Amino acid sequence: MKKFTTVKWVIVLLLALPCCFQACIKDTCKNLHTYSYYVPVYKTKETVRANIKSNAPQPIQNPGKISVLGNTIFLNEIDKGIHIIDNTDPSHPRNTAFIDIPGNLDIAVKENILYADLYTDLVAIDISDPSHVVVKKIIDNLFGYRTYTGTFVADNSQIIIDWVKKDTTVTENCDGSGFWEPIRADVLFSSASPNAGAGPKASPVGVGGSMARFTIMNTRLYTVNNSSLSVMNITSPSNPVHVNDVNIGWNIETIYPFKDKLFIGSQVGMYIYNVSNPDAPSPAGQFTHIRSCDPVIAEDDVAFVTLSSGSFCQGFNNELEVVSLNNFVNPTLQKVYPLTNPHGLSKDGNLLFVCDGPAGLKVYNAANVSNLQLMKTIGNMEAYDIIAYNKWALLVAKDGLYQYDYTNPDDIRQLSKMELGK
Amino acid sequence: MKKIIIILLLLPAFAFSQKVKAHVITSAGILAGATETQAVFSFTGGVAYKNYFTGIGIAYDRYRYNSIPVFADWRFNFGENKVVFVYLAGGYNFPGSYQKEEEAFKTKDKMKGGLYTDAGLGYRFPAGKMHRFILSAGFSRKNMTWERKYTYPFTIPQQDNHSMYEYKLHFNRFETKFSWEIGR
Repeated sequence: MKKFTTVKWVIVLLLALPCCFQACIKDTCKNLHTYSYYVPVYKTKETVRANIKSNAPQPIQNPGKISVLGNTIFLNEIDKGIHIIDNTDPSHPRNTAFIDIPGNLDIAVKENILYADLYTDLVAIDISDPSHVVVKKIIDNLFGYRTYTGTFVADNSQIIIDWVKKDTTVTENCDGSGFWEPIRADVLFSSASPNAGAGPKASPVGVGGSMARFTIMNTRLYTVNNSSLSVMNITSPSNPVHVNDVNIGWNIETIYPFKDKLFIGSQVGMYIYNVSNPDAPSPAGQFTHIRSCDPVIAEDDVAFVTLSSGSFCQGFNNELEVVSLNNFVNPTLQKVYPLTNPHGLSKDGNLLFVCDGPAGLKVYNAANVSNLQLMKTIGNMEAYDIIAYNKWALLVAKDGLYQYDYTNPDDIRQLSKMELGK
Repeated sequence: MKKIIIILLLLPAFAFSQKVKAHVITSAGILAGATETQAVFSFTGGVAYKNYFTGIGIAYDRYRYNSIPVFADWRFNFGENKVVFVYLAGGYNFPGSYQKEEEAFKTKDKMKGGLYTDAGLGYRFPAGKMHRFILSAGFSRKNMTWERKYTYPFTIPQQDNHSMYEYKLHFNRFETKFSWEIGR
């Protein structure tokens, strides 16, 4: 009887242990969050402006917009400045100089004057001698200050010339609130990256405000910032004169000239402005199918648009669309061609060049836009953007700058490749 | 893993001596922790000598995230009749399958194992010469690390576009196990 009682008590004790003391224990979680962050490096405005000249060449790291003038290629290094590339011999292009312009995202060239943005300012530079470029004029505060999500506030009395990367690991306690699904509360998303469809997105900072976009129509330079369209009279190219600002909405990012119209891209669609009065653009229409991050080229009554997934526009389609522009207010979709991950495109005569991301460069015979014929695919590279004219094409890819000669469309020849980082 | 199972199965064959006797223990139990109560199943093979037992075991632990602990098991029996004993087990907790959530920009999602420990007190109920039933209770802890890496196609403000999260998880549980022990 005594033995039975002992056994009974042992059983009760052992069974009761988990039930009675379950509340006394807890599961724990520590989260080691490893990431890199960037610290800005500032210089005074005076120092930065004094350095806008033909400096020693720099390796091409993050190419953006391209402009070509004669035998010289001007290539934007995102947020850093402009590479000057001597392309006298397209088979052997030479990186000859670098113009330091912090915050530079966009460029445009008229005659011998190059226009570039320097954060909030517009700089007009005489490039008639690429080895000795000269600043002709700076228009202050044409574009809005950049805004940064998160807690960072820039010191706007100075200019950010670089960002220094710092690695860190922080330990966070994650065992509150029934934590067992890991929480990603501290991940913030940048509202946009400035160079959709124009090269790798490697600027270390998110840009929320002034994403300047330039286009030149006759004697006017049009620029867009987040909410307005600015008009500069460049009848005298070296002396741009700011003549007007037109409020055009929000989240404006791109501008594209077509006939006597401006296509202005926002994140929700494309606005069309009439510039029959060049100093006072007026709204002429709007369509929502095409977004600002969808590269567009237009010719006659047809526009070619590439839609891609994975960009900040968060689209899902990867295709080339042919849009009829017979009626600007109500354009119609004429044909869709599925692609891999298309970005920039260019057209010369009946040849249509489409940068299809990892699938390379695709060249179509576009004599009949309703039935594009794929003539050639140039693979082994990740193609982002292309300029093609006069039997010569300049292509920006993930690994470098390529040049092609397409005098014979059936035998497109690679002339050269400038590798990034060199 | 194959080798461990083979060793477990062959362990009884090593116990030829009259003094060293082979034992196998099959268990099922419950794990009661702060966030849930779950089942655990284990199998241990080993040898007993006098009042000592040593062996290696493998378990299927369903607490929070499935895992497969592989451990060494030590036991000490009290008294002549070896009814009451204490045990201590320690080893490595291999991660089992777990649900991966589809999440944008997640480029790595990996569960890693960690230390496994278990200690407690047991009581034997003899059921013939070869068989015994065991009721035991103790405290068990398993560690796991969940790694998640995100690579964004755009930059996070003032941050690089890579972000790595390592969740070091420590699960503490009370356990009660019912076991069937075979061996002389």
